[in-house]
Amino acid sequence: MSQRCINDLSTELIIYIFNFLDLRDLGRLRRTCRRFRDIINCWDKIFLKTTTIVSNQNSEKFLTRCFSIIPTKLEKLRLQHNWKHGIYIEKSMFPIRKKYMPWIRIDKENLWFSRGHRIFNYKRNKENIIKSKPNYVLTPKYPRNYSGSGISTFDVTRFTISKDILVGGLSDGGVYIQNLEKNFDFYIDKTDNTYTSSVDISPDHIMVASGMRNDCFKIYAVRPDPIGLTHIHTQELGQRVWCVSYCQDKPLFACGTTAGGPFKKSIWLYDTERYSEILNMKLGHYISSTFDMKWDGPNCLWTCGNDSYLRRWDLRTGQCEQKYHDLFGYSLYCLDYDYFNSIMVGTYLHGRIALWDIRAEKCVQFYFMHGAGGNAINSPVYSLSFDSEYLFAALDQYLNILDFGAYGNRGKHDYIKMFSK
Amino acid sequence: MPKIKLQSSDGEIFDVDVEIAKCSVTIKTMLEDLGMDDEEEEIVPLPNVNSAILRKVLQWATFHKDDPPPPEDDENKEKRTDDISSWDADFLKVDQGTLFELILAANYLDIKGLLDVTCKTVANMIKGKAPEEIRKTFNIKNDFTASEEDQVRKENECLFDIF
Repeated sequence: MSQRCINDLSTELIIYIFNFLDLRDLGRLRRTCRRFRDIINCWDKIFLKTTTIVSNQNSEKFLTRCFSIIPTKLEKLRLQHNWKHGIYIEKSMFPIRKKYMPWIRIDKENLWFSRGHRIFNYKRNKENIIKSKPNYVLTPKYPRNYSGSGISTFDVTRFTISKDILVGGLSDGGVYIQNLEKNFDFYIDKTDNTYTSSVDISPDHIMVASGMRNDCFKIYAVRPDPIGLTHIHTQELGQRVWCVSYCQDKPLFACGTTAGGPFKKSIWLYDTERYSEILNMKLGHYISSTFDMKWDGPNCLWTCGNDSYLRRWDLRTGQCEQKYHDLFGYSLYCLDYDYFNSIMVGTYLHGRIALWDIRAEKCVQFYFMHGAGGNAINSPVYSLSFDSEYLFAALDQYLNILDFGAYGNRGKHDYIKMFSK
Repeated sequence: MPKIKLQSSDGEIFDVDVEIAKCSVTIKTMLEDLGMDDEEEEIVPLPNVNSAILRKVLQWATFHKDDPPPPEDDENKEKRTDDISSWDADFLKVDQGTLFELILAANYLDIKGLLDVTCKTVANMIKGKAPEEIRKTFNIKNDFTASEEDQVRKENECLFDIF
C-alpha cells in the first residue's frame, strides 16, 4: 500500500483538481488548511468569472480619485459584497441649521465641499476619512471697486477642479476662477444678474464654459498669468441651462437644459472650436430637464434629470442606448461614474442614492443618508462622488461619508430586497 | 504489432504495444524526438513510476486504446465530475495512496484521460463536505491558528454568497 497523500501533489495538480469544484466547495477548502487557503487566494481563475462593481478599479481615470489601490482580488470581492449589501459605517458631518445646496469634488488626496459662499478643502486620510478642520477655505469676493451691481450676496453653485485650476459658478450670475498653485491667484467676473447653474473647464485649460439660468451658456477664454477670464461667446438656447460638460477626448461640449416645451430638446452638443451646434447629431430628448451629465469616452454621454431616468446616449447613432428608471420614480439630481460598470445617482428626496450596475443592467442597492443623530432626512442629494471604498454625499444640512471598508454585518442596510419585489 | 520495452523505477520491464504506450504523450514525444526505430529493442526507462502503478496505467491504457483523443479544455465550460464510466469507477476503487500515485504518474506520462478521471475522483471525494470532513478524508492537519481560522471564516461569509 502506498503512503502517498494529497500534499504530495504539486500546486499545479491541486489546481487541476480544484478546477472540477464549484465555488462553495472552494470556500470550504479554504477553511481546511493554510496550503489550500493560499492556493485559492492566489488563484485568479476562480475570480475571472466575476468583475466587481465599484471596487474593480478598472479605469485609470477612476483611480485618480481612489484614496487607496486595492491590493488583492479577494479584498475587491469583500468590498463589492459590502457595496451590494449595504454594509458600511456612516458619518454625518458639518451639521448646520440653515439649508444650502452644496457641491463636492474629490481626488486621491482632497475633498472639496462648497456650502454657501465658501469652498472648503479637506485632506483625506484613512483614520478619519477627512479631518474635521479644513485644509484651506476659499471665499470668492468681488473687488471693492467692482462696477457691477455692487457687492452681492451669493452662493457657490457648482464648481470643478482640473489640475490646479478651480472654476466655480455663483448664484448671482458670476463666474470665478482660481489658481490653487500660485498663491491662490483668482479672478471673478459677472456679466448678467442671473444664476450660474454650472461651470466646466476644457481639458487643455484654455476655455471655461458656464451654464446660465437666463437661457444661455457663456464661453470664456482663460488668461494665464495673472489668471483671468475673457468673455468670448454667448449661445442663446431659449431654455434654462442646468449643466455643462467638456468631453475629455474630443473637442466636444455638451449642455443640459430644461426641456421647455414638447418640441424642445434638453441635451445639446457643440464643437469647441466655433461653438456651432452639431446638427447631424440628433442628441436630445424632449421630455424633461437634464440636471447632470458625465462623458464616457469620446462617444457616449450619461445624463440624468427630472424624468427619473438615467440614460446613456451614443453620439455615433444619436440615440439613447440604455435607460434606467429610478425604482421610486424620483427626480435625479446628480450622478457619478467609475468609468467601467458602476454609476450612482443622487435623488431629490430622503437623501437617497441608487447604485446601478450598467453591465448587469440592474439597480444594485440604495443608500439612504441620515442626519447627525441617525435620523432619517428629507434632503435631496445635491452632489455625490465615490471611490472604491467611500461614498460622499452633499445634503442640505450635512456632508455624509459612507465607509464601505467595514468588516462584519454591523450596520447592514440592505434595502434593495425590500423594494425590488 | 511493434512493441517497446518500458522499465519501471524498481527495474521491472514491461513489453508493451507501441500504440498503447503512445497514449502517453511523454513516451510518444520521446520516441519521435529520439527517432527510435521499431526494430531496435530499446528500453525506455520511467524513473518516476513504480511497477505496481505502471501495471495499473497500462491496464487503463489498454482498455482505452481505441478512445477518441480527449477534447481540448474549454475554459468557460462547466467541468463535470459525474461522467466517469463504470469501468473507470471500478478501476479506481483503490486506496488513496494508489490514487495519488496514479495522478502523479498520469501527470508525468502526460495521459490526459487518466489524469482527468483520477482528478475527478478526488474532486468527488471533496464535493459537499464540510472543512472538518475534508480534513478527515485526506488526513490533513489543521494548521490554522484560532484567529486565522476565524479570519478565513469571516472572509468566506462575504465572498461565497456573491457567486
